[in-house]
Amino acid sequence: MAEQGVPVTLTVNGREVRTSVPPYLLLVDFLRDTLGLTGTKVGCETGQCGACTILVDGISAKSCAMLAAQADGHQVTTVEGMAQGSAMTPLQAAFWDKHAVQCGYCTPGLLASMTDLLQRNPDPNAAEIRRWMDGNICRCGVYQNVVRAVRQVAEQAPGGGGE
Amino acid sequence: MLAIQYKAAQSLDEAVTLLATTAGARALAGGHTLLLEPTRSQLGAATLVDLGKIQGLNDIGFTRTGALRIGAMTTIAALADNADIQRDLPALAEAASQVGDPQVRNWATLGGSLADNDPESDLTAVLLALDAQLHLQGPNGTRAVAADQFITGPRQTALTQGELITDVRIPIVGGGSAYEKFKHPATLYALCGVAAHVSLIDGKVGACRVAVTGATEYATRLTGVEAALAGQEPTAEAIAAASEAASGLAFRGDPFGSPEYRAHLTRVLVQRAVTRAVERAR
Repeated sequence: MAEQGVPVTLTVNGREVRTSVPPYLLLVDFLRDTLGLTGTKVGCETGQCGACTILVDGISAKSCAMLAAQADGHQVTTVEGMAQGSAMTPLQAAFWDKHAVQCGYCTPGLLASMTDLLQRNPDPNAAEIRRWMDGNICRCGVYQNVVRAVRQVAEQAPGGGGE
Repeated sequence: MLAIQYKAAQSLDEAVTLLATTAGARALAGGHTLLLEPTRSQLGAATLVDLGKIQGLNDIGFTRTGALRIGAMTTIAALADNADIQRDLPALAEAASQVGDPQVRNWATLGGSLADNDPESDLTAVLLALDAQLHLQGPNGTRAVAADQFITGPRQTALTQGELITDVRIPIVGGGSAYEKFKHPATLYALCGVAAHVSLIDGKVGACRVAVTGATEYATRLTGVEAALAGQEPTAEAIAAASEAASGLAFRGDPFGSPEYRAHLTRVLVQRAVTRAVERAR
């Protein structure tokens, strides 16, 4: 069958990308296989594990549940677009400090998800952080340290409160 | 590899035309059913008509008759966060806040969820209890269908080929509403969910609508419970007695829960939902 490409223009980690994508291509596969941004992981492909979570217009999204074509006109941020050079974001630094990483497969997705949470609520309590982790599965079990890392960001933010 | 085709509709009229004239066309809203396995593998050579670029399909506002009109492309997160919904239709806000996980709520839509009519959807029971009207547009024009008539079976709806949900209108009639859910801890879907709307007249139950999801083959009104509550003073004893009227339904059984277990959940959640709806109606 002749393949009909879909023209798209999107911004990925601050860089404009103009190209044509196959209509069936998932956004996660476009990021990994076409753009080489392999920080975003493929886990379950059923929308449950959250390994492919990225930010679309600043809002956390599972990139296995979106076509590359649907990203036309949107701003996409992956884990590669978070740090400025070697300067980690406060959330990345807190993941480092609190060892919220074991094998690292879920980490890019968790960073995107928790970035979204902190944008909505700069001072989430432990229960709110745990509830927000509903969409991210970690088989190493770093959940407790993710809670500690996000709390550290909240406490170190200007005006951030303790629990 | 999928053989699907993709077209982004720029207007509602274009979407309806594409859906009505393209063989095997499917509407693509938030994509959180269509694009996920196992559904994705079953799409074959379908043409997906993306509704995401159509303007004006995600507005929330009051109609002149005092109903709340919610655009079909409104995300589940937007339902949960909307101040008018939280104040006037708390059952809908409660249900929306418990759908799936944050990323699902960020992108899945009201219209997509209703068109899918998953037997474990949280929103279907709420729309039944709140007496919602679904407004549809298709190749033969527009029509309004009550939620009771829209849901026709498991994953079956009144939608015809080429027809789309444009918005949902929910009357604001006072009283109180609530949603209670017992979720599956891994899938986050409802093993059982119960929505209730109650209005009180001189301290007794006047109009009352109660609906269940997850526990039956598809979301359905609990008319026996409603009849048992009507005219009663809503004491704990009266509500408990009325919940027994849910026992006669055909409940689902699967590896996650037997029919008897889901019947029990339904009775318990009916009591909790009705009790909170009554508190809000006072």
